[in-house]
Amino acid sequence: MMKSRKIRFLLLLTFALLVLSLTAVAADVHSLGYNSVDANEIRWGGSNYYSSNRTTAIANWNSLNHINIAPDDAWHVEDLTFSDVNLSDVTWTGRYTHTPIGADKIEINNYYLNSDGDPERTNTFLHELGHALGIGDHDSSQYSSIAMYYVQTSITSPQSHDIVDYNNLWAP
Amino acid sequence: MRIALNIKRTLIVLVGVLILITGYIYFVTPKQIVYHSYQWVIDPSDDSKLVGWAENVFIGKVNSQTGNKTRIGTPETQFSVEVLDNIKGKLDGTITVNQQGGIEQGKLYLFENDKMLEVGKTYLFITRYSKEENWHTLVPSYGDILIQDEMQKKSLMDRFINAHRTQIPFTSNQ
Repeated sequence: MMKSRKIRFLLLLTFALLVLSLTAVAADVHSLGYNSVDANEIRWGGSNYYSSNRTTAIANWNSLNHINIAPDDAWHVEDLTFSDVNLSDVTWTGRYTHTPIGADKIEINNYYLNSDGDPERTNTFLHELGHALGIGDHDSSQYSSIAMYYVQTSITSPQSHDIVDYNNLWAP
Repeated sequence: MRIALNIKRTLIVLVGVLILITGYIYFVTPKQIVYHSYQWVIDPSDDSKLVGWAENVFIGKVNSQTGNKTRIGTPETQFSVEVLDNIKGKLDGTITVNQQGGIEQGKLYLFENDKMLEVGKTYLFITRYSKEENWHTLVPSYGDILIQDEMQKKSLMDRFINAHRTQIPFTSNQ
């Protein structure tokens, strides 16, 4: 009788631990669970009016070394497409869309960037590229000084917590 | 013999629970969801900033879904909404509220995990008007708060009347 209870308790404990571990994985919001990386590269195409800010943002993520973000060419499949929009009725400055088939998209809302300063423009590109690298939004105000904070800031390069998230995903 | 029977019974219950959970996830979750991640221009958790950005804050009842439009490559869904109470701005009668997201070619597009509006339900809406489209686009997740009862409605109205009083008008982040 006692043995049966013990076994039943162990089985229930195993089941509870399984459910808990699944919940913990789902709650890991710092990783999106998807990205635009293909064989340690993101090959991008498209164009933006604020291309110099895009160039700065790409260079700053590339300085972390593990993933190479480079323009698309005839020898590679495009992983990510940049474009501009001009929408006044939405709350976003930039938007990353992951699609299971075809190139992912980054859309930049020039309605806001037109009146932004240079650091804020770079911040929007840096943030959206962070999503393309698989890093999720950080909503808590304790992260207000990092690139992946969910609101636009003037941060122009990955900060220590961004680098931790990046390395968790991409460092060998 | 009895121990074996108990283990068998426990295992059957556990397998049953697992089948139920798997079945629920399979049938309730749409087959393919496209997620958008975006950077906010304002902090939406700050009511004063949110109301300062918006042109209209109001209580409205969703009468029907009136349209679907693909804008910049992703679906948006339009609803006919009857305005019941204004908190910011002056709207009256029935207007078109636009929600970013919707279904296109069997794929569900979700913005900030914002659930699609339900016909017949009443919400507190926080919106901005688009002249080009002649619709009021709601703020995903923060600008379509479902109203469950009169007490919650009063508390929400008090909260956003106060936010209107202390609103921080939107300027660029420069």
